[in-house]
Amino acid sequence: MAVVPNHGSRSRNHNRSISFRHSLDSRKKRTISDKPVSSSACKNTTISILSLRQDFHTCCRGFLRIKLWVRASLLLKKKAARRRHRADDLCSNHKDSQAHVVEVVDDRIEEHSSTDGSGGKKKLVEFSREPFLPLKEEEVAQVNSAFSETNSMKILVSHKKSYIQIAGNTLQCLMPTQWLNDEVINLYLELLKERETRDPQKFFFKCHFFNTFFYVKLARDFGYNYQAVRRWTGHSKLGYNLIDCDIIFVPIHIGIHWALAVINNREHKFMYFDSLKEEVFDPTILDALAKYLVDEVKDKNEKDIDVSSWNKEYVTESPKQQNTYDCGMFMLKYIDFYSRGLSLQFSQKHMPYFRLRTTKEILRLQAD
Amino acid sequence: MSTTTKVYERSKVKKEGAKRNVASESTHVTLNVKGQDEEGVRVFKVRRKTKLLKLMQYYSDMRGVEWNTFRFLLDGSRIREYHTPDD
Repeated sequence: MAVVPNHGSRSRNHNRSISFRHSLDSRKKRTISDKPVSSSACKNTTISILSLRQDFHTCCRGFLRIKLWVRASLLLKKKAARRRHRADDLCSNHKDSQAHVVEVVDDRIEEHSSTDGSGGKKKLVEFSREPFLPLKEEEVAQVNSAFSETNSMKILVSHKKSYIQIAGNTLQCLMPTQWLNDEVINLYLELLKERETRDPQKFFFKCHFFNTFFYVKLARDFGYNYQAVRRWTGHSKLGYNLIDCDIIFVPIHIGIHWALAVINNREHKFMYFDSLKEEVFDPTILDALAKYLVDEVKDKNEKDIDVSSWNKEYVTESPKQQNTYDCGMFMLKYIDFYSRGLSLQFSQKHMPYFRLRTTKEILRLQAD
Repeated sequence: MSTTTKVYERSKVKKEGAKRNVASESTHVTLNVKGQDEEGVRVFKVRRKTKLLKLMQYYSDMRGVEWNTFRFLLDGSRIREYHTPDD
């Protein structure tokens, strides 16, 4: 007999706990579930019902949780879309305000410009997002694996046309704080040339990229010597005449520093970019290039041109490096931006990204 | 230590030879190799089918450096060790 009240109290306890739980749930369920508890049924049935009920609750909660989660993710998506939309609007405004230079590359902006009805694909903007597009995850992974120690002796890339092969230890010069190697620079210049021939519609200027040895052969070793580079630019070799190019890029290596000289055939001027120095420039470099251009035209086209009136411009407002190791990267990006026809709108803070991006482009043998 | 290796890399960039095909015969060909940092021209007589690796190694031995320190160019484009004068 002593067992019964015990049992009774226990069942009552259950009852209480159940009713407490049920107050959270819908009424209909309570009426159904209350029946077996109120009747003095055996312990087993109540327990089985209890477990059933618990299952039902967990299910319910799970379902609710999923529902909440779905709703939250939907909200997030909507927010992101709204933000993107706003950014696009900003971009298009920015574009409208500036009337200068070069087409739009990003698809999204393109759509906008077409809806604006303010021109076709060849819209001119001062600023393009394309040179700053972030890398995809797998591209970053590819770059990191190429930098790994196990790849240091392996030949990672071989470019057929220029016979340049790049092994892992050479590619490692693109890691942060490293000095760029001539092979990397020459290969990247080849890729830039290929980019232009692949997509001539996208580039306004016809460019020629000399390799890093050109200036050394022309003027560095024993004074100016045209004969040393006379055969570098034959029509059969290049497929075009040098004088037909709008812009000619000449990378210049001074001891331990990379700089860039540009022959701008379209605007009739010589330009010199240095990412380090502020004011002191060596006039012999541009003088030698002026002389070279005269000799080249005389030799290949049998014409005399007068370059004495051409401006010699030492560009001082170009982006400058803040350290001692990014000169090569700055030079490559001067070339990249200038050949796209963009203004040089980048700075020291973009250099880690540019290093990654250049590595990716070299690994895939395709400059974007 | 790191700076010295960097300087070494740079000195590598500066060294490069130009090679010119001067006279051609049936089986042999004369090649002139001119180092960037020397005034004279070195003349080599090479068989047409021989890989240039041999010449490059010989030239580098004469200059006292490893053969892959130099970049060999013909009219501004690279020549690799597996090329032959016929190429």
